[in-house]
Amino acid sequence: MARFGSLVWSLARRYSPTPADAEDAVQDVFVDLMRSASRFDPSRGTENGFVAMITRRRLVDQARRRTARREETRSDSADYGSDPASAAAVPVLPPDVEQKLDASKAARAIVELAPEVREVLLLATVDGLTYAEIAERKGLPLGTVKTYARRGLLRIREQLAGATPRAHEELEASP
Amino acid sequence: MSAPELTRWQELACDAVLVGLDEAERAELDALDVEAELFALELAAGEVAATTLAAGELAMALPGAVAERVLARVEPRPHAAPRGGEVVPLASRSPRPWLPWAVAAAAVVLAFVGWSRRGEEGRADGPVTSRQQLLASGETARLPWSATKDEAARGAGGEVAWNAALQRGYMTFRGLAPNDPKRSQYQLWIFDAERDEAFPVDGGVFDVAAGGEVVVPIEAKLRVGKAKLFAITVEKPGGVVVSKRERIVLTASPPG
Repeated sequence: MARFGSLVWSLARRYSPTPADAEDAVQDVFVDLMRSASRFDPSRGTENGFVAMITRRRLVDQARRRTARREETRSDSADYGSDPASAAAVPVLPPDVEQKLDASKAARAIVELAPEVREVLLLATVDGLTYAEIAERKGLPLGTVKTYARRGLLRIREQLAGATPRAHEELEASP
Repeated sequence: MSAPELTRWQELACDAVLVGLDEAERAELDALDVEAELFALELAAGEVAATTLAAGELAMALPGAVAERVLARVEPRPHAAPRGGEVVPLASRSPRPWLPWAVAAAAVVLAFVGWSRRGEEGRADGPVTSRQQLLASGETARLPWSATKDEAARGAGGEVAWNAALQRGYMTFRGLAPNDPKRSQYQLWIFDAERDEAFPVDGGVFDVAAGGEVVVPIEAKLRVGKAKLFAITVEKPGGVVVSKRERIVLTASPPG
């Protein structure tokens, strides 16, 4: 937790409507990590990437369930008034983040994305926004957002795994 | 797989990783049997998130209070699943080997919190016998449960036996509604006069089966200084870190 707590908490706070939800998520994520650690393969990715994967999996699942229950809110909980560190503001994703990326394989793959694709993909993977939320924020048609997000993820996956491009060309053919 | 099928699975797989799927979509994706590819996409999204968070200097330190509460819930512990009135402590977490870094991380947390668990392990006796021994040891408070208007508590009773010096205790229940562990579980909270009332100590998650008197050991995850209220809530399976206190079924408190 000392090593990955910040990464897990940072993602949890970005995806979760309240600090309480984020805390619940962090608990579940660390249980998941202990159960899934044996699946970590250093030849396929970094430890941070693996931890972020497990974290996102849990957060996406929780967000989906919240939506299903129609209880989604984007306000902080007053319950955390006595714990200001938990309720601290979530830093905003800088628009020029690609200029600060390191020389890692993942960073190179992100930089190589088309700017509009990169922006949509980062809003989905880092900020946890839904397709509809991204469309509203960026003023883009929903279908375009879906295409950009899927295209970006497939590109990253190919770059990281060295996979041969397959049907993503068909996705790229659509708007 | 035809080109249209390939496109469809990629749509489903990307959506599963990015925003999640509804039940019908999940069933459709599962039927395609592309777990390895899905894992690769999930990992790609994880790498993007971790790399971007680091580059954007977006990391937020995990607050110490949160770490402590999360640890209290994550740490392996026994947990009771009574059947027919008999209390059966559940096995500890699977002994599946963890990566060295995961073990190291857990060890760091244990050192950070500085609180060693006081569980039932190491005690050969069952909870019924252990409770009797605790009651005989003196200085053990016995507090009767008060039922709320919650339907699960209708006609329920029993007591809490808590020894503050030993930090051990047992709960007995009669008539508390059985729970379906897949849908909900009971959870004990101990309100400590020496702690913030907003964050009671987690006393453990447990199940109740039909029939008989149930004895459940208390598993306080943090040291309890001066217990002023014991409360049982109904929570999601596995319990929660912070209860919304939507369903409180039983309470017990010292006189005065």
